[in-house]
Amino acid sequence: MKILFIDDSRLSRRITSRYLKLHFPEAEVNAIGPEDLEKTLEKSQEYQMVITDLLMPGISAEEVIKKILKKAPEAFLAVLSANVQEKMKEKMQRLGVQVFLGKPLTEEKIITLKEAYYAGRKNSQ
Amino acid sequence: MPEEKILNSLKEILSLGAIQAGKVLEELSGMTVELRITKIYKGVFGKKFEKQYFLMRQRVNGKPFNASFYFSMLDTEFLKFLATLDSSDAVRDYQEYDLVDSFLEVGNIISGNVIAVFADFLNLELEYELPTMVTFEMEPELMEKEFFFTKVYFEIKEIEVHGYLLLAFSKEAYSAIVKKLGEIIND
Repeated sequence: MKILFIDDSRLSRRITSRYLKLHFPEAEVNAIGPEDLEKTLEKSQEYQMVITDLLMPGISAEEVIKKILKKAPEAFLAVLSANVQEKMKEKMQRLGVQVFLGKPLTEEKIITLKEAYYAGRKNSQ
Repeated sequence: MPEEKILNSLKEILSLGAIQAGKVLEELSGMTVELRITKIYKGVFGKKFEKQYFLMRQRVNGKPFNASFYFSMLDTEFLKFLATLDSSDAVRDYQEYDLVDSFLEVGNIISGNVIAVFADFLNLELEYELPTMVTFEMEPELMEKEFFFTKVYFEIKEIEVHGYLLLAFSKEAYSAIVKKLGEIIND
């Protein structure tokens, strides 16, 4: 299993990668900044799960979601963001985001992510 | 509506935001965080505080709402706090870039959560601008314009860290909140 995590903050990339490796020990986690988004998305078919921040330099929240959905339509898509407005959560859901998690990532939230991911896989089989 | 009543209501809303910020700090540090909000002040923010504070500015836009939120934390206390987040052996190992990055990310998470309390209350969808680190000197409006602001005392007993979060917001934000309060009272 391969997980792609996109965030402009190095602190967030470090903390989130650690959580992901702990809870998905079999997974290869690739944490990148938005500057590497284009070239990484070229190989995005390799990823089973993509988690992204929404507020990043040079790209809007909607753009990043649309790009991921275009390049990796089969991947499980989750958002991890500090923008936790109810209207933003609804908008992301409409765009096709499967799970919306408010920052920071916690034990409880990663369990939600894990359950949603495995439930999604079960339904698609 | 009398100003005192408005300021009290504002304190209630900000307290909700502070509770949310407290939860965020607890989740980030894994420790018990006590937060106490003081009264809401009105005045020129830049004249009230020491100039050595680092500030994070988060602007939000939404018709008809344009506002700036500022977040700050006492610098040395913040360094200690950062050390709890990433299990770094020593804060001195932090590169300047990492320090700024961590300050902005923690500030972004706290202000993002507080702003969401306002947005949900006002039933608005606010567009967040990228958080930026600024100084008082870089922000003339802080030295000239009146802001509404509050000091939120925080304490993490496990590591003996205490300090203040400073939250300031613009008159436009205040007007939008007053309007919404008026609508709620009239309903």
